[in-house]
Amino acid sequence: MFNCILKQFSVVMASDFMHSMGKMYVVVAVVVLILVGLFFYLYSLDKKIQNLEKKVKHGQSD
Amino acid sequence: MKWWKILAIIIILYVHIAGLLIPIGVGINSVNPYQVDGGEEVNLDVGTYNADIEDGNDVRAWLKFDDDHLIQAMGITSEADTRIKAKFNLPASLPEEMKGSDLTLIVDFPEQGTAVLPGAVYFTSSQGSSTAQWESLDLNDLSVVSKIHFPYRAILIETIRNTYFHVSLWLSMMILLTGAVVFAIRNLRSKRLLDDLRSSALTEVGFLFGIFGVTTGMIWAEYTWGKAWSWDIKQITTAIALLIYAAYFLLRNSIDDPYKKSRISSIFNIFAFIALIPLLYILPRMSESLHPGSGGNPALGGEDLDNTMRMIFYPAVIGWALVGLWMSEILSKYKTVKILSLKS
Repeated sequence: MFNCILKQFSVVMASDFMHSMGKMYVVVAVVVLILVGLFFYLYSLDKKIQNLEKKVKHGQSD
Repeated sequence: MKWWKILAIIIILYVHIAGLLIPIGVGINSVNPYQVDGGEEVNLDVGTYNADIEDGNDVRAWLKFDDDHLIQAMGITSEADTRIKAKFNLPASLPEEMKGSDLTLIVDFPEQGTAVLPGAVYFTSSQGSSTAQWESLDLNDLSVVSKIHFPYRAILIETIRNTYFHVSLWLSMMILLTGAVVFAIRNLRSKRLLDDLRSSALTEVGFLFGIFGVTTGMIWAEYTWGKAWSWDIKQITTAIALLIYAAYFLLRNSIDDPYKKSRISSIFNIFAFIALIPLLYILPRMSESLHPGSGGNPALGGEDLDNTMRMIFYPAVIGWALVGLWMSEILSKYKTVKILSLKS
């Protein structure tokens, strides 16, 4: 089975963007995905706290 | 700001900078032709990675059957920036009267390191005779590069760096979910809501890291295993484990009374954690899998990490766990204020 993988890998040689540069862009994609995910989580938490702040403000003014 | 938050920032910055900038060692990318016959003189076209080839003069190469049977290349010439041609005068047949076998290609680049590709060519014995003979060579003066680098692995190449992101996220998820179950047990004994809030916050961040783990794994798999989802056993079991934790959140949402919510979801958290261990660490090891650490072998052993990688990998696990702890602290503060605001 290992032979089959080796025979095939030389076929997919820098044939497209993601395979180029030793597949470095795959690493970039992984790091960017984690960053985007963390920023998205930060954003959604921020919105939740904003809503809570609004609710508490309303409660105080009543 | 607390010391461990500053430590989290330093570690994650270090992991990104070192993990992305330290170069990969020299490697062999491709070998043509794949089939060679005994007795012939073959000029192997070898594609290399990260090797600085000026001329072929000081480069050496061998084809190896086993430790006692090697054949050295007669001459190496550089073909292009990243390719060399290695001329071999092959023996007629294999030792032990075998009909055919894989041979390993070893290429030594002076001052840059040695590249090894097992199964580089398939050698078929022939009936004729040849002047060339297998030799029992002692390759003890191979080049070792002194500058720090990560190991070259065929197919993976640069993506071996994903170890510091994909794999470390899973381990730090384990740390967070362990903390979550500890607080769940505490909540059942103390009946304090604060323990349940901490438990659910840690579970939420742990679950998020698990989602990152699955999605980064799918990106990595698309370009190394050939497709993003291969119904690999570890992919399946981690999906199941994450679905069980997703049920934890559904359960919490369905109960209004905070005390009832905390009791029932803490019990569920314990069961979810108990299911996590066999799903992630026992079942995948027992069967054949594309993931390292299958078929009875432990992962993160000698084959999957070397000492340079360990210098980045272990701090990465701690760094991501500290980041997750920080996130869960903010989250549980938010949940605390939310409950307090409801009561007033």
